Amino acid sequence: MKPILSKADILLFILIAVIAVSGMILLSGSGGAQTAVIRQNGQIVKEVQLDADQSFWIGSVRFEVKSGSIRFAESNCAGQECVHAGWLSSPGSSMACLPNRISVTLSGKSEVDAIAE
Amino acid sequence: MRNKLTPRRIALLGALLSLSLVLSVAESMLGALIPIPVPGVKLGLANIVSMFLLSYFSLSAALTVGLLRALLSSFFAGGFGMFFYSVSGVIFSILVMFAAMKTIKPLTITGVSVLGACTHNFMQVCIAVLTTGETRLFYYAFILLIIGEVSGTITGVTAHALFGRAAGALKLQTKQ
Repeated sequence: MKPILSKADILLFILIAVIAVSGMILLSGSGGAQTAVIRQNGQIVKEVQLDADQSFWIGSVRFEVKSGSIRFAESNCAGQECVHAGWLSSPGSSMACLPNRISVTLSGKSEVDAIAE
Repeated sequence: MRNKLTPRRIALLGALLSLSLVLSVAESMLGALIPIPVPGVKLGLANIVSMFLLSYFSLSAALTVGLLRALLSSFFAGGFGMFFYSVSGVIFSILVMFAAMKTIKPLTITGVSVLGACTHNFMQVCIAVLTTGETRLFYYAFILLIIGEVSGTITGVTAHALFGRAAGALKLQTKQ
């Protein structure tokens, strides 16, 4: 009978952990998050600045903005995973409500200029 | 004899398919009970059945059962959109686990399970990126890799404990 863990297993563990951590470090941006970009079906539907507390609806999802972070406050989806995801505040990070095809991404300071409206 | 579709083999595959469906329904109930801060995280219990099929049946048996499970479980919960998420993860994880079992012999079932879980998670993020057009979601893929290591270990250890007994009870031989 094979042992429950072999050296190859442990090597695989370390390899995946290294890929994951280095990927996260590479993709995490810098600078204060100021703007949240909300996309529906891949198209930008709203860009909102996170300095003012507010709450608004995009389709059947309600967003809440509070002290520099944003969250899915309400959604009609079955799993409610987007609501459980909690607050988003670090620059470059994102989260999505996949059943509604709505995603939200925080941009860094440099992208503030691009805000249209 | 092993690759013929005998009535016994068909009955066994049907029973394993329903077992995998029960596992995926049970684990979605589990997810509703314990709220996890990261969306989309599952234990992947149904992957135990995929690994069992790869170990004691064939690649085609594992793929067929995996495909049918994805189709049927999307009827139970989620709808058709969910089908694409689960089917891509299921097929790619089975192919990767099959390749790992064939080529990396020192890997135990735990390692295979971790590899399958991580592939599954990574594929789902790829589909999410394709459908939302939001490449920054890739950040999330790396978090899911770590989670795949944890859930893959849990299912792998479970598989390790179960397979010998289950195969003995069903009078199945390991492939080659």
